[in-house]
Amino acid sequence: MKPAPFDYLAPQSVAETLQLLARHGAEGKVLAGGQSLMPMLNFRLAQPEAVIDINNVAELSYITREQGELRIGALTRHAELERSPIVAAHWPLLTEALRWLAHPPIRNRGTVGGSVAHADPAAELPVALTALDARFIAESHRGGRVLDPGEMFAGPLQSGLEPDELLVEIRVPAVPSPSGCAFVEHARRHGDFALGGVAVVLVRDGDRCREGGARIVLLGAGPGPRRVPEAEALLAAGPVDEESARAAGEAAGRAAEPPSDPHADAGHRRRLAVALTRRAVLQAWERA
Amino acid sequence: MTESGAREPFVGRSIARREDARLLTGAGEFVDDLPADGALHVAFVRSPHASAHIEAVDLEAARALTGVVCVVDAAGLGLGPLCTPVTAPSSFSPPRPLLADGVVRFAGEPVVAVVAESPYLAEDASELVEIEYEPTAALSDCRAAADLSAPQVHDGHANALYDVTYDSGGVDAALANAAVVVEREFRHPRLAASPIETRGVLAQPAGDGLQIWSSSQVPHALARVVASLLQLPESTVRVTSPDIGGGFGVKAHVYAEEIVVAALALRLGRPVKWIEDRAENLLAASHARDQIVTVRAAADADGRLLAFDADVMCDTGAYGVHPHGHILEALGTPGMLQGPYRLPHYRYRSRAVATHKAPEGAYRGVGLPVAAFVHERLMDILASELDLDRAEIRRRNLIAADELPLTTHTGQRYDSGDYVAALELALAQIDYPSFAERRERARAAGRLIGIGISCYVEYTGVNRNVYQGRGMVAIPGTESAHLSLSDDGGVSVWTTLPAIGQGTETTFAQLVADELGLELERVRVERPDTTVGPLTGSGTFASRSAILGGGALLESTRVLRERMLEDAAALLEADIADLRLRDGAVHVVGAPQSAIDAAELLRAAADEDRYRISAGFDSEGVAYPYATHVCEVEVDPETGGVAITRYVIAEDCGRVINPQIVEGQVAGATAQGIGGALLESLIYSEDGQLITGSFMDYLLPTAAELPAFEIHHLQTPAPGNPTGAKGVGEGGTLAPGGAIAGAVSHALSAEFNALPLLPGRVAAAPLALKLSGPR
Repeated sequence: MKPAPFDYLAPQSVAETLQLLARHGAEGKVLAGGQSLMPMLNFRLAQPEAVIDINNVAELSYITREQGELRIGALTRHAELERSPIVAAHWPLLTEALRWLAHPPIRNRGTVGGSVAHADPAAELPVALTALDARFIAESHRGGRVLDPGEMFAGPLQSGLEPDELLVEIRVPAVPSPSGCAFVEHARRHGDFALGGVAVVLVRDGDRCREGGARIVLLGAGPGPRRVPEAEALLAAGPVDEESARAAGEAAGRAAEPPSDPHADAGHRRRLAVALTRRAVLQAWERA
Repeated sequence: MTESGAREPFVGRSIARREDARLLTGAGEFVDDLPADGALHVAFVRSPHASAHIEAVDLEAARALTGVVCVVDAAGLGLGPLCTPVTAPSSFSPPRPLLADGVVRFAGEPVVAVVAESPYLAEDASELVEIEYEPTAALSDCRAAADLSAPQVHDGHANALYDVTYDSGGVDAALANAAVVVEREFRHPRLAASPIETRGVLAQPAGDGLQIWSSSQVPHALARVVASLLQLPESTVRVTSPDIGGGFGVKAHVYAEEIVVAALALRLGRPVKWIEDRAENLLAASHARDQIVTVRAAADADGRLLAFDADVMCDTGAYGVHPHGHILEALGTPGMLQGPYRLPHYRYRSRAVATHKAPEGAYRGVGLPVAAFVHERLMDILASELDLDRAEIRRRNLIAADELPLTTHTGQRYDSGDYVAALELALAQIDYPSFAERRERARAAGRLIGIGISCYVEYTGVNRNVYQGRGMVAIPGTESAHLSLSDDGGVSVWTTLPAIGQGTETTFAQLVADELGLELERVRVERPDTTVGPLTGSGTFASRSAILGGGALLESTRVLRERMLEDAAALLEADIADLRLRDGAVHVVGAPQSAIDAAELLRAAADEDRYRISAGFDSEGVAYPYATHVCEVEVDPETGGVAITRYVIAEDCGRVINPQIVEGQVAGATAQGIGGALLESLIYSEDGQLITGSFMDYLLPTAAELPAFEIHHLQTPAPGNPTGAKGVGEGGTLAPGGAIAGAVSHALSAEFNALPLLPGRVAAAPLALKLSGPR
C-alpha cells in the first residue's frame, strides 16, 4: 500500500505540462483529483516514472457557457459542476448524473477531466457526456485536436488520448427544447460503481421524439458508454408511452454486453439495463 | 451497592464516554502514533498461491537494496511453529509456521519478512524477493475438502480437523411421526471483521527482553506466546495496549506476524514496527462464518418443534488461531442451534474442515449468527408449511420465563429472562397486527414489502470451566484487575481487558467510583500492561468485559474498601459500622469533622502494597442475553434492491451499566449483522484466490444503507455474576440474517436460505410472482 518510487513534477501552466508530457510520454502519469490514480499507485498497479501533478494549473478550472455551448475546464471538480447553476439550468442530466458519482468527499477532489481520461465503463460522467454528444479537446506539444465520445472512450480504462496529450476542455452542445433527460442507476450501495445504469435525453416532437432526438446510453454494459440506436430509433418512430418505453428497455437489454463479477452476473446486469432504461425513458419523457 | 447515600450511583446512567474527546479529536494514541525513534519497518512477502511447494527462495537482490536491514525466510528466522493445544475429541490442531516453511497453505500466507528503514523501502525490497513455487491442487470448497479422497491440507491428517457428533436419542422416531418434516441447506458467507484500524505491532528491546505494543485484544496471551517461542522469561516480555481502533474478534488472536516482529526486534536490537495495510487485513487476518448447515426439522401439527437433525460444516481455512484453535464455529454453531426454543430431540454432526483459505477465527458473534440464521429460517419455513403465523409459531416454541433456568442438549444453562416478553415487545412496537393489511395495500400499488422476525439467545462471558470443557486449554478463562490508591484518594485501575472501542474507560470507572464512593474523574482507567500487578487474563472477547472485568473490579474494590475501613477504624478508634467511604476519605457517620484521608492511610500503612490490590475473577455461570429483532423491508423486484424501512429491537443484556453505551453496542453489532445479510462476502476463486480483496469489492454497510434502530430494553440481572451484566458486545450480529432474509422472503413470497441476499438472486425470485403491474 506504499507506491513505488516516482518523480513528482508540479507544473504551473498548460504549456509547462505539455513539455513534461512530451518528455515523459507513456512513463508519465497526470495526477488531477487522484481518486483513481492514488489507489492504483498504492496498490502498485501503476508504477509510472513520473507523476505530473496538474493541481496548480489554475487555467484548467472553469465552467462557462458560450454561444449556448457548455465549456468545462478539465481540472473542474465534480462538486463544482454539481453545484453550477448554469449546468443545472441547461444540462440537468449532468447535475443528476453527478449525484450518483461516489460520495461528497470524492466529488470534492475528483475532476471532470480525470473521470473522462480514466475512461471507466462503469463511470457516470462518460455516459452522461456521451448522451449529450460532448466533444473533448486534447492538446500536446504537437498541437490540439477534438475527439468525439466514440474516440474518447476507446475501451475499458483506455481513453483515446495519446501518451503526450492532455485533456484540457470538455464542450457540451446545447440541448434543443422541448426536451427531458434522466439518469438512473443501481448499485449495491449508494456511491459504488453501479451494476447498471442509463442516461436518456429525449427531444420532444409532439407525442414522439424528434428524428435523431433521442439518445440512450448504457453504463457498465460494454467496453465504454454503450449507445442503443435501436431504442433511440423506435422512440422517434412512434409515440413515447409505457409500451415503447418497454420496447426501448428490451432493445437496451439486447445491446448490453455487461461483465460478470461477484456482485452480479451478466444476466442480472442485462435485466437491469432493461428495467432501468424503461424507467429512465418514462422519467425523461415526463420532464420533456 | 454504594457507600455514599447522598450521591446517585454512576452505574445505570448514560455517562458520556470519557474516551471520546480524545478519540474523536485525533488525540488517540494508536500503535502507529507511538513515538518510535529509529524504528525499522517490516513488510511481509505473502504467497500468491493457495497451495504450493516452495522450491527456492532468493533473498540477495532484496538484501542488496539500500536501506534494507534484514530479510528472512523460515530458515533464517529459525523459530518453531505456533502450537495451539486443543484437547477436544476428534480434533487435530495444526501447528502454524511463523513463516511458511517449504509449503504454503493459503494465498496471503507470509513467506518472507523484509526489514528496512522505511515502509516504502520495505515494500520496494519485497518486490525483489524471488520465490519459486510449485503450485499444487488448491481446495477452496469445504465439501470437496471434507471428502476423504481429497488432497490433505496437512499431510497425514484428514481435512476434517474436528469431527464430532451428538445424539439425544429419539430423533428418528420424531422424524418418522411428525406432522411436518422440512429439510433445507443454509449457507452463510465468509466474512471479515474489518475494524477501522488494521493490525499493528511495535516491538523494542528492553532490558533482557522486549516491550511490545500491539493492537491486540489479547495482550496477556501475546506476552505468554512471545516468551515461550523466543525462550525468554515471561517477566521480561512486557505487552502494553495502545488505543485500539476496533477489534470485533479479529484481534482476539496471537498472530504469526506479531511474533516475527518481536523476534526481529530482539535479534536486531532496534525497535521494529509493522502496520498492516487493508489489503493484507482482508487477505490474511482471520476470517469468520463460511458455513453450510443442513437441517431436517420436525414439528407437530401445532408447529411445536420435535427434532432437529443437523449437519454443520465449517470451512476453517488452512490453520486454527491462537489461543482458540480451529473449533470456534464448529463448536458454537451446533451448540446454539436450538436457540431460545424447546427442542425435545436433537442430533448433529459438526466438522471444521481445512481448506486452502485464510484461517478462520473470532468475529463478533462467533458461530452464533449462523445458528440464529438457521433456527429463524426454520421457524419461518415450518410456519409456512403449516400455514401458521410466523409470530405465533415462535410464541408456541419459545422457552417460557418460568422454565428458566433450563439446561439444553448441549449443556447451555439458559439463566434468566423472558424470551416471550421480548418477542411481544418488538411486535407491539412495530405494530405487527396491522402489517398484513399494509402489505396488501402496498401490493395493490405495485410495491412489495415484507416483515421479518428474529429471536435469539446467546452465551457471553465464558468462564474457565467452559473453556477447559471445550478443550480450549490455552485460554485461562479468567480475568484480573489491579487497583492502586493514590495520595489524593483517587485510584488507578488496570484490567486484563483492552478497550477496543466499547467504552470500558467509562463503564469500568462507573463501577469503581460507585464501590468506593468516588467521583468519576478520580478513577483513572489505565491501559492494560502485562507487567502491572501479578495479573493474568484472557482478553477482550466473548462479550466478557463487563462480566469478568467487572467481577474482578468488584472483587478488588471490595478488598480496598475493607482495608481502608479497617485501617481507619484502628486509627480513629471507631467501629467499622460507623465509617463511610466518600471522596477518597473515610468519614465517621454523624461526625463530619472526624475523617481520615487517603494520604494518611497510605502513610500509616504497614507495607507499601497494602493499597495496591490485585484480584482475579472467574464467573460462576455463563450469561445468556437474548433479544427479538423485527424489521420491515421494501424490495425492488427488478433491481433486487432491498431497503430496510424499519428496524425494531427488544433486548435484555442484564443489568445495564451505561444505557447509551449499550445502545451503541446494539446498533453497531446490528449494523455488522446487516452487512453480513445484504452486502459482505469474501469470495474465493476455485483455485483459492481471494477475489474480493479490497473495500471496492468487500462491501461494508454505510450510514446510507442502515435504518434508524429503535431499541427497547428488558432488564433481568444475570444471576451468575456479581455485576449482573449479561454482556452486550455481540448479540446484535445474531438476528439480522434471519430478520432480513425472513422479511425479503415475505415480501416476495419466496424463500431465501443463503446470505448475502445478492441483488441478482432477489430479482430472480419474483419471476414466479404474479404482480398487479410493473412498478
